[in-house]
Amino acid sequence: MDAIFFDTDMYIHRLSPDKPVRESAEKAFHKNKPSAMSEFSIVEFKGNYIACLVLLRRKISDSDSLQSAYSRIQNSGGRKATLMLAQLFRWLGGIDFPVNPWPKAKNILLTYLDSQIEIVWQSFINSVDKIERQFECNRAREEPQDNNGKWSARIPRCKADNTKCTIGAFLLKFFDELGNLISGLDALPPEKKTTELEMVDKVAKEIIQRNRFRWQNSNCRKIGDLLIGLESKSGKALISSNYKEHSILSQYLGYTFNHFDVTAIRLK
Amino acid sequence: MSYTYSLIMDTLDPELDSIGKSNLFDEWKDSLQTIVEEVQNPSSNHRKVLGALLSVTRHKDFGDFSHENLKVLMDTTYLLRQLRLSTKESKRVINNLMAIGNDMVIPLAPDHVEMTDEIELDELMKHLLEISG
Repeated sequence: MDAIFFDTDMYIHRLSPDKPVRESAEKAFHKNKPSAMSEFSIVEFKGNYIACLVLLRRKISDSDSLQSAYSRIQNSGGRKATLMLAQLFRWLGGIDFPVNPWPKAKNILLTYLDSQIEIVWQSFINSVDKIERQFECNRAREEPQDNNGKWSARIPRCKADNTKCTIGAFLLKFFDELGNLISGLDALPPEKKTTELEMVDKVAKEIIQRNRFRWQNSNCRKIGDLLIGLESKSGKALISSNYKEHSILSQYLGYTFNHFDVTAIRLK
Repeated sequence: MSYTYSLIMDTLDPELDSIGKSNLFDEWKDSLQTIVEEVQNPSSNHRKVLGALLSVTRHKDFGDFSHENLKVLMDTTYLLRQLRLSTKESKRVINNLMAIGNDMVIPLAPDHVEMTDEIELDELMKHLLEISG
């Protein structure tokens, strides 16, 4: 396959309020055809951006005032969720947004959030020509669920009764690459070994020792970069802004990494 | 909803001049906005479609849509008249709207927001919280 793979963060850059970053990401998607994405990106996107939209939707829906909605969003979603709320207000008119009376304002916010969850999800799934499904991830087949406004972006823990994927066999196909990676990571200066790389190292060692991967619970979510990197081997390259991990992983797993340099785009 | 539908339907009336059509189109947009603000507890499928219509027409005028695309807007408004709107149907019409409007996604990613932008967003929130009482 001659497709260019896009990492999860690349679609998130298309949602950046920073115009140069957003436009550069859009350009990358239009320029690099045919395009593909790892099935694991679907899990990451649902658990990240979509989950944040769902959190905003829930807290706004259950609040009697903007103050209450804001503090609940801040307490449960942290800085990320409050920034997302502020950006939504800015997009809807900024200081001119009619926050009073709250029931009206709430209706407007809920309308945009309900439609955005649907629109962004569809747009994300259709952002590439192909979704690569080499290990048939069950979680990647599960869309956000809407029960008349009670949205859920839950990613269930993988168990025997809800999982029939082939992740174990998929990872064992790359036994040699994982061996190379372990040697490479062992030789890496400690300052270059990120938390994610440490986790990948630990899991790779376990696979080599036991000749199997413990897929139960949410183990795959600890090694997202590894899974995306390995699926990208079937294409021409992987485009990502995640330099710290993919510059190392690509070297030992054998895929081409094209860096989407956000800092350089901003400095232009 | 019937009134809202009549507005977009009349926008397609070949006997009207462009000023008349443009005014009807704006009235239709205002009417959608009123429905969004005033109607209590619509179904989330109705909300999704309403939000998609507001997004696809945001900062757009009558002249920005071809006759075919106006028909898509009209058909979508017609569907909103139904008391029940299935998830499958709402997905289908939202996909139709996405095909005619390429900027329906709101850029809300909170990752990598620059410091100056963060300060601006905090100021905005502070202001909105103050005026909301």
